[in-house]
Amino acid sequence: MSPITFSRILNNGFLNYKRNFLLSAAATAMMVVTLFIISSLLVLNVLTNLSLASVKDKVDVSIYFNLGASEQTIRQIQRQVELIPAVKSIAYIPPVTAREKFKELHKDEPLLIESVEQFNDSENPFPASFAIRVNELGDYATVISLFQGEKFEPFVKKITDKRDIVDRLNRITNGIKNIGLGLTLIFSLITILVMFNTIRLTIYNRREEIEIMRLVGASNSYIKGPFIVEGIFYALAGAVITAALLYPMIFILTPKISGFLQLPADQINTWGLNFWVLLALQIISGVILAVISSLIVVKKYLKI
Amino acid sequence: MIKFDGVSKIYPKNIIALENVNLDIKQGEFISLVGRSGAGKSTLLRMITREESPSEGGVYIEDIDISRISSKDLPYLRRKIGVVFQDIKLITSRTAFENVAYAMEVGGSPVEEIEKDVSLILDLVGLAEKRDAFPSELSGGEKQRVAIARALAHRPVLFLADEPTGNLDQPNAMEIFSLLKKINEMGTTVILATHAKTLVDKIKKRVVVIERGQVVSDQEQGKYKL
Repeated sequence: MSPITFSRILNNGFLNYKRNFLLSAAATAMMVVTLFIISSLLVLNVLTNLSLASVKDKVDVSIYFNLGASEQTIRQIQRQVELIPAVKSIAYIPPVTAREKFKELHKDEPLLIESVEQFNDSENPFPASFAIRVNELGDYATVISLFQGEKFEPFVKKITDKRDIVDRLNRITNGIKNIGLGLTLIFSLITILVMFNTIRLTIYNRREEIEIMRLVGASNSYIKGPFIVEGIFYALAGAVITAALLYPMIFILTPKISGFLQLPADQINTWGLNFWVLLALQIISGVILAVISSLIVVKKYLKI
Repeated sequence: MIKFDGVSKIYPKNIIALENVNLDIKQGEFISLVGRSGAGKSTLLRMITREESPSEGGVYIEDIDISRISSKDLPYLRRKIGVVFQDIKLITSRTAFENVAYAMEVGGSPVEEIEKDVSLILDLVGLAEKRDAFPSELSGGEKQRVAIARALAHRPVLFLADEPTGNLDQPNAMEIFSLLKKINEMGTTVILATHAKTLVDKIKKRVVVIERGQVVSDQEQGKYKL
């Protein structure tokens, strides 16, 4: 296709968009709603991933040892556990440290502090413990079963496991993602339908001109092109409007969200989603929707 | 140049538009197709531009069966054929010049070529003065001349006119006929479907009569008779 033909197709597509301003506005508005939902879903996905990662980072499994277990035994166990590839870190908390931690935690309760201080070091009632972190959430089961096995079990008093917090968080975020996906699908479908009708009306309004085009030997792409261009204009206008609405919102909400999710501010700021990436994603998803609907209309209603 | 070989067109519900039409049209001929409304004249013309396809038989242009032309190549066939209609079909939002230019735009002609050629064609149809007039500012005859100018934009080898004078008074119809003759004299084959008896009789060219989808008479230097 020659550059001049291409520019004429673009021009005609823009004319289609401009001439039916009200209809185009409706189609663009629908596009904005859908792109808004898609982008919000994206932002939500990034946020939940970040907060999940931050929570996962804080989760560990604590192994408390019997008071009778000697430090030497515990250190031996530590060396064995350290060799397991799934283990990210293992921290040994001796009874003394555990007592200090307890005192620090309850420093405003003199009665408790006093009762703890009654014991000397050899009578310290706080057990020694490990705080173990693993690489993957699934690895916790391996570690726990190891300490429940006959080799270590005699030394272990108690195992506390915070995995259920992560499980719950996972379930909630998955639920939100599914609802978001469902909404995206529904609104994408509505957008395709609205654009379908808008372009169909344009074809109807321009039927005489299309007939003339056919008569004077316009090529298929010359006749069909402008309607696909028209659809792409809905996508572009929709993407720009969505970005203009969404970005200030992200900007305003960021400090609040980062406070709520207890995420470090710098992580939130980058989010992996800068303005241009977001705009590009909106344009791409908008253009995909636009091209799908205009291709269907053109195939169905434009006979060459 | 054009050959209709046993062409029939049957629409759903068994409505027969054309029945076993055999017709040979030579390069440079001027043919008047006459017949009552609904006799099948327009269908016959629409087969040449492949807006319709035969149910039976074949339409050949320069020995090429046009039903075999791919839809991608169809525009190139149509650029070789100029067409005008009774209802003229101009774009009302464009001037006379722009309407003619439009035909060249779709073919991808550059702006300078369009400017030069359209001026020449408008001059040929006697509308050089009215180049900037919109269709609403033109008389029926002038509008039809713009349509003819548009059909000439691609320098067609074949010119089809479907009742081009149907909505015109006698003097205007006469002018259109003269223009078609002029186009024919310049070497373009002209096929004219018409009801204008006086004019057909006057030009003394080949007349093909169609009745109920069939060719009932085909005479060189014929007369309009139904």
